[in-house]
Order: sequence, then structure tokens, then C-alpha cells
Amino acid sequence: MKGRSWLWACIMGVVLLFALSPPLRAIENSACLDCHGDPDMVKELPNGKAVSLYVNPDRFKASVHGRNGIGCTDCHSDIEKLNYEKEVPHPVPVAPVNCADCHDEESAAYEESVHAKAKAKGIKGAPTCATCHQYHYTPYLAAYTVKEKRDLFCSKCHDPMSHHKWLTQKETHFAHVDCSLCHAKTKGMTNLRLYNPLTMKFIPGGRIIKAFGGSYDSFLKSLDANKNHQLENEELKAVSDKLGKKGFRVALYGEMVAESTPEVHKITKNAIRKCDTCHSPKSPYLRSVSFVLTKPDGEISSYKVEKASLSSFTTSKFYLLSATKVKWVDIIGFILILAGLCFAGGHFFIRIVTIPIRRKRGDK
Amino acid sequence: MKRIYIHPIPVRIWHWIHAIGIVLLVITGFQIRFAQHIHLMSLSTATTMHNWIGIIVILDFVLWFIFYTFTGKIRVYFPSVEEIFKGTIRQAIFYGYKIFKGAARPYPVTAENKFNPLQKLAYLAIMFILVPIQLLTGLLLWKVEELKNIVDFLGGVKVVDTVHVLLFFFFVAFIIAHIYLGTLGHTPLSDYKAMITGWEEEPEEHQ
Ligand code: HEC
Ligand code: HEC
Ligand code: HEC
Ligand code: HEC
Ligand code: HEC
Ligand code: HEC
Ligand code: HEC
Repeated sequence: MKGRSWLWACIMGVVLLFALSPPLRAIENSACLDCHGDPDMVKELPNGKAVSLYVNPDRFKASVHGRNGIGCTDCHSDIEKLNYEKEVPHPVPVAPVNCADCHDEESAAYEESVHAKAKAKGIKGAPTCATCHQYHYTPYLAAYTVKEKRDLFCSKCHDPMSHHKWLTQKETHFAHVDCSLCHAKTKGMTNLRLYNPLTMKFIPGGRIIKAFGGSYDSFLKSLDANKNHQLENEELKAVSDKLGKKGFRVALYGEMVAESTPEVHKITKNAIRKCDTCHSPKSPYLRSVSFVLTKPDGEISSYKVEKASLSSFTTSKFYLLSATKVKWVDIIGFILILAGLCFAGGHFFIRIVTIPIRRKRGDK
Repeated sequence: MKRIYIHPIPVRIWHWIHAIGIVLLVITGFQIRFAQHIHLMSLSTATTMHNWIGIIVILDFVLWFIFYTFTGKIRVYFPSVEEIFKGTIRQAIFYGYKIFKGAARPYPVTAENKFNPLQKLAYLAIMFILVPIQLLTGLLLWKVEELKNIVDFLGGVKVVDTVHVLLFFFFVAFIIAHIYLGTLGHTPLSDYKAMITGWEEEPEEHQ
């Protein structure tokens, strides 16, 4: 009895191992790339145009999917085997890839978007998963700046400057606010990135880590002098000093970004429009502020920042009108105005009081 | 009583466009800076108005500069060495003391020289340094992204904004003083009348 239960456990273990591990790939990527790895591989359409069937093996390997072990046939799942006896060893046409097989939440959100509706209406040019995400070479998106995302996605088809008549300072907004923050009404947050104000370029986290050694996490922890799991203004100020010693000229560049969740796909016309959703100290997007280091693979490493740091000159590249004010500026202002009032009022008062003196002189 | 023509039409047009413009910029400016506490209009209306009026004031400033430069009248803004040192003291003593006794003005208005030494110094600083800085920082805040080379060079949007806001407060204080000092003419309203008609009334005896 004892021996058999042991055997059962063994069998169950093996079964479980198979169930949990990725399915054994029937066809290796290299088999497909034998043909599709040839840069000259094209297919001629009936109308005479040539379509490239080339997939760059290195770029594919570097993509999110390549790096996560997703192979050709995980997406092109209708190809179950290659039959080399035929000229084309697999069925043609190959069935369209269904991203929803693995990304069901994103698909569900996308289905509620203006884009899915436009597509359902048959509007040509309405984007699908594949149009937006460079299907074979999907990058990690976390490291992308607001502007990069704008140019990579939305601006390819829309000119935001020709909409948004109600919005002032459009260029500034479209450079500092994710389109999807307003248009998908996702949760949002404020990110601070390292920026070189002289070259006007972002400083990749990789260069910082190379200069200081250690890992991303250990570097970020080393900035948190009082170990309270967030960077206060003083600690943030020390960052530029610390980096300055190694020759980095840095400023902190602020952006308001959409949280990277499937919800970003629920693009709607009915977007955020009220200024004080953002331009207020109570803005929900100021609740979470992070200091961000980008990684070479396109991911990020971040550390919580105390919100009050936004109201100081440490974050000189970020000023969210009426929300992140430097307090003493207003205090000086009131003193100035008060001085003006006192001068005019005081002088006027003396003028009134001294009327009799002048009258006497006038009589003379 | 003697009448002197001291403010030609272009000067008066410039001055009143400027005055209305600045007052509107101040009102919308307060709304923008203190959106949480002041509710005269929406932030959106305030910024849009502030942007457009700012442009009008910039054009108006250019009008002022061209008129004064090409007519040579710009000289009225430059105090002589004597005026800078002795003159400002004399004028300050007048404002702070003698005026209450009813003494005569140390620097009566003439057609060629309409400002006293204190006015010259104040207006010189304002028209040649502070207003241009204010217009420039305003322009930068209007086009933060487009002009980011300059904004970054100056230390970032928050630095530019701080300069703009501090000068804003200074101008508010200045306007209060300016409006009040305008009542210190020959009669409380004579300077105001002059700014409208162009003609200043001066008591004969001091000429
Ligand atoms: C022996 C060469 C060869 C191999 C190996 C090969 N293919 Fe192809 N493949 C072709 C040719 C040729 C075409 C063009 C068919 C046509 O004319 O429409 C093609 C077309 C395609 C298409 C586009 C079909 C369409 O509808 O336009 C896809 C997708 C594709 N292959 C995927 C794969 C995948 C995935 C693998 C590996 C599992 C693979 N191929 C292996 C030769 C090959
Ligand atoms: C993340 C999913 C995904 C993976 C992984 C993937 N493909 Fe594709 N592939 C697509 C999509 C999406 C299309 C566009 C056509 C469609 O919508 O089905 C496509 C189209 C193609 C085409 C047609 C030409 C083109 O570029 O549009 C070829 C050939 C092809 N794939 C080969 C491959 C090969 C070879 C691999 C493995 C190295 C691979 N694919 C891996 C999603 C994928
Ligand atoms: C209109 C362009 C667009 C379309 C269409 C689109 N995406 Fe996205 N996708 C984005 C953007 C923008 C992001 C957000 C990047 C960020 O802010 O981090 C994103 C993020 C993602 C992410 C990472 C964030 C997450 O959800 O965890 C996945 C996965 C993803 N998309 C899959 C899909 C799939 C699957 C489809 C089709 C159902 C699709 N996308 C359609 C633009 C698009
Ligand atoms: C066989 C499953 C599978 C299919 C099919 C698939 N993906 Fe993915 N996808 C993954 C995995 C696994 C990841 C990595 C998830 C992670 O890192 O958390 C991923 C990640 C992504 C990301 C995330 C990038 C980021 O910044 O995190 C995007 C975007 C994406 N896929 C788009 C697509 C699109 C578009 C398609 C359809 C053309 C597709 N995927 C089809 C498995 C798949
Ligand atoms: C591949 C092209 C493409 C991309 C990329 C794209 N869109 Fe669209 N978008 C469209 C099309 C086509 C429509 C439908 C227009 C219509 O209904 O006439 C549309 C509609 C819209 C609408 C509704 C406008 C209307 O007139 O109904 C909004 C809002 C919108 N997109 C925002 C975005 C945002 C935000 C992004 C980036 C995340 C984006 N789009 C990316 C093509 C695109
Ligand atoms: C501050 C929030 C906000 C940001 C940021 C924003 N939008 Fe909008 N957008 C709106 C609102 C609100 C509307 C609807 C009112 C209107 O038509 O102007 C709109 C309208 C649109 C429309 C037209 C919809 C229609 O009904 O015709 C398009 C297209 C669009 N946005 C694309 C974009 C793109 C692309 C970006 C990023 C570059 C972007 N938006 C950034 C708030 C925003
Ligand atoms: C989704 C959030 C959001 C909304 C909604 C929004 N803004 Fe902004 N706004 C920003 C961000 C972020 C910046 C860029 C801050 C920077 O330059 O560092 C900005 C910049 C500005 C600037 C440029 C000066 C400055 O502070 O940098 C003005 C002016 C402005 N916004 C006015 C408005 C007005 C008016 C509205 C309403 C019509 C509005 N904003 C709506 C987020 C928003």
C-alpha cells in the first residue's frame, strides 16, 4: 500500500510538472526562421505588390515575447507541423493571430474602446493589437517616455494639435501627460526621470548603475538615507550631488503617466477635461510619485518619492500649475503687496492729517 | 495756470492699453496662481485670457519702444548723473516730508522732461529690465515645450515660473503705489486728466 501511494505521488508530480511548464514546442523557432529568417523573402500579392515575409531573428529574440519564451507557433498556433513535401510547408493563408489567447484582459478592455467600435463599423485604419504593438518586435513599454509613447502609438494616426481646442499649452501637455491617462481614465501617477538639461536627453539608468556598481535595487536603497522606504526632498537633492560627483549633470523631469494596466486600452472620446483633476494639490495622480531608473531591456526600477518634493526646486523641471507651488514665493508676494498698500495708505493718512498745515501756508 | 502738452496720442494709447492689459493680467494671474482659493472664472478661461492678453501687452510694449526710440523721446527715461544721486534724494525728501507742508515740487513737469528723478529711475528699471523679463518669462511659460531649450538653460520651468510670479507680485505692489502717486499732482486728478487729454496743468509760479 505504502509503495503504491509513493508511486502515485510520483506520477502526479510528473503530470503536474508537465501541466505547469510551458507546453513543449512542437516546432522550434529556428525551423520557421530557416525560411523566414531570409531578408529577401517576399510574397507577391495579386496586385503585384511585394510583402516581406522576413522576421529579423535577433530583434524577435529581444522582444518581450522572445525573451519570455513565446515562440512562433505560440502565436501562429494553427501551424501544428511543417510538411516539407509541399512548396509551402504549412497552410496558407495562416490564420490571424489571436492575442487574446494570452492577453484576455487587454482584449476585453480594447473591445470597449472607440477603436474596436470603429473597427466593427468597418472603418479602415482602426488599430488592432498588432497595428499598435509591432507584433514581432513588441518592446517593453515601461521605459518609454510620454513623448515616445505618443509618437509610437497615437500620433501615428491622430494629430492631437487639431483637437483639444479647449486645452491651453497643448504641446506642453502632450509632452508631459499620457494620451491614455485622459482618454482611458486609468489610474495615474507622477514619474520623475533623470534628465540632462544641457543635452536635453534622458539619462539611461544603465549608465548610472555602471558608474556606481551594484544593482538597481541596491542603488535606489542607497539613496534612501533614513531607510523609511521613500525619498524625501533632502534625499532627492542629494541624488544630483551624488551623481554630480561622477560627472552626471542631472535634473528631475516630471511626467504624468497612466498606470500600465489592461485598462489603458479602453480609449474613449469622453476623456478627462477638468483642469483641476491634475492642477490641484489633491490630484489623484499626485498620490503616487516615483523616482524612475530605466533599464536597458526596457523595464524600469522605481522608488517612492514624498509628494512634498514636487513643491521645491529639487524638481525644477516639473511645475504643475497651482498644484506644486513653492510656498515661500507666495509669502514674499504677500509681503510685497502689503508693503505697497502700507506705503499708499500711510502716505494718504499723513496727507489727510496735514491738511491744516497746508491750508495755513496757503492763506499766507 | 499753464497748460503743457506732455503725453502725445501714441503715448496715451500705449499707456491705456498697457493699463487695461496689466489689470486683466493681474486678475487672471491671481486666478491661475490661487485656483484653489479664488473662483472668479475657470482655470481654463483664466489661462486662455492670460495668454492672449499677454500677447497684446507684448505688442503694446513694442509700440512703446518704437515710438519712444524713433521720436528720440526715450531720453526722458534716462536720469543725469546729478539726478541719480542728488535728485533722487531731493525728490524722496519732497515725497516723504515737504509735500505735506505744501512745498513746491523740486522737478516741475516740462514738455521735454516729464519725469522727476525718482520716476526716471523707477521707470527705467521697470520699462527696460523688469517688464522685458516679465514678457520673456511669460512667453516661455506660454510655450514651455516649444522653447524648452531656453527654459532648460534658465534652470527649468519652476525657476522661470518663480521669476514670473515674483515679478507679478512686485507689479501688483507697484500698481498700487502708481495709482496712489498719480493723485499727488497739482490737484489729485490733474495727472489722471493729463493721461487722458495729454495736457498737464502746472502752477505758473514755478516756471
Ligand atoms: C520551407 C520554407 C518555410 C518554412 C520552414 C516556414 N514557412 Fe512560412 N511561409 C513560407 C512561404 C513560401 C510563404 C508564402 C506563402 C504564400 O505564397 O502565400 C510563407 C508564409 C507564411 C506566413 C504568412 C502567410 C500569409 O497568410 O500571408 C506566415 C504567418 C508564416 N509563413 C509563418 C510561418 C511559421 C510560424 C513557420 C514556422 C512554424 C513557418 N512559416 C515556416 C515558407 C516557409
Ligand atoms: C506575439 C505573437 C507572434 C509571434 C510570437 C510571432 N508572430 Fe508572426 N505574426 C504575428 C502577427 C500578429 C502577424 C500579422 C498577421 C496577423 O495578424 O495574423 C504575424 C505575421 C507573420 C508573418 C507574415 C508577414 C508579416 O510580417 O506580417 C510571418 C512570415 C510571420 N508572422 C512569421 C513568424 C515567425 C517566423 C515567428 C517566430 C520567429 C513569428 N512569426 C512569431 C504575431 C506573432
Ligand atoms: C491604440 C493603440 C493600442 C492598441 C490597439 C492596443 N494597445 Fe496595448 N498598449 C498600448 C499602449 C499605449 C500601452 C500602454 C503603455 C504604457 O503606458 O505603459 C499598451 C500596453 C499594453 C500591454 C502592457 C500593459 C498591460 O496591460 O499589462 C499589453 C500586454 C498590451 N498592451 C497588449 C495589447 C493587446 C493584446 C491588444 C489588442 C487587444 C492591444 N494591446 C491593443 C497601445 C495599444
Ligand atoms: C502565447 C501567449 C501570447 C500571445 C499569443 C501573445 N502574447 Fe504578448 N505577452 C506574452 C507574455 C508571456 C508576455 C510577458 C508578460 C510579462 O512580462 O509580464 C507578453 C507581453 C506582452 C506585452 C507587454 C509589454 C510590456 O511592456 O509589458 C505586449 C504589449 C504584448 N505582449 C502584446 C502582444 C500582442 C500585440 C499580441 C498579439 C499580436 C500578443 N502579445 C500575443 C504572451 C503572449
Ligand atoms: C492605427 C491608427 C490609430 C492609432 C495608432 C490610434 N488611433 Fe485613435 N482612432 C483611429 C481611427 C481610425 C479612429 C476612428 C475614427 C472615426 O471614427 O472616424 C480612431 C478614433 C479615436 C478616438 C475617437 C475620435 C472620434 O472621432 O471618434 C480617440 C479619442 C482616439 N482614437 C484616441 C487615440 C489614442 C489616445 C491613441 C493612442 C493610445 C490612438 N487613438 C491610436 C486610428 C488610430
Ligand atoms: C488633458 C487630457 C487629454 C489629453 C492629455 C489628451 N486628450 Fe485627447 N481629448 C481630451 C478630451 C476631453 C477630448 C474631447 C473633447 C474634444 O474634442 O476636444 C479629446 C478629444 C480627442 C480626439 C477627438 C475626439 C473627437 O470627438 O473628435 C482625439 C483624436 C484625441 N483626443 C486624441 C488624443 C491624443 C492622440 C492624445 C495624446 C497626444 C490626447 N488626445 C491627449 C482630453 C485629452
Ligand atoms: C491630465 C492632467 C492635466 C490636465 C487635465 C490639465 N493639465 Fe495642465 N499640465 C499638466 C502637466 C503634467 C503639465 C506639465 C508640467 C510641466 O511642464 O512640468 C501641465 C502644464 C500646464 C501649463 C503650462 C505651465 C506649467 O504649469 O508648466 C498650463 C498653463 C496648464 N497646464 C494649464 C491647464 C489648463 C488651463 C487645463 C484645463 C483646461 C489643464 N492644464 C489641464 C497636467 C494637466
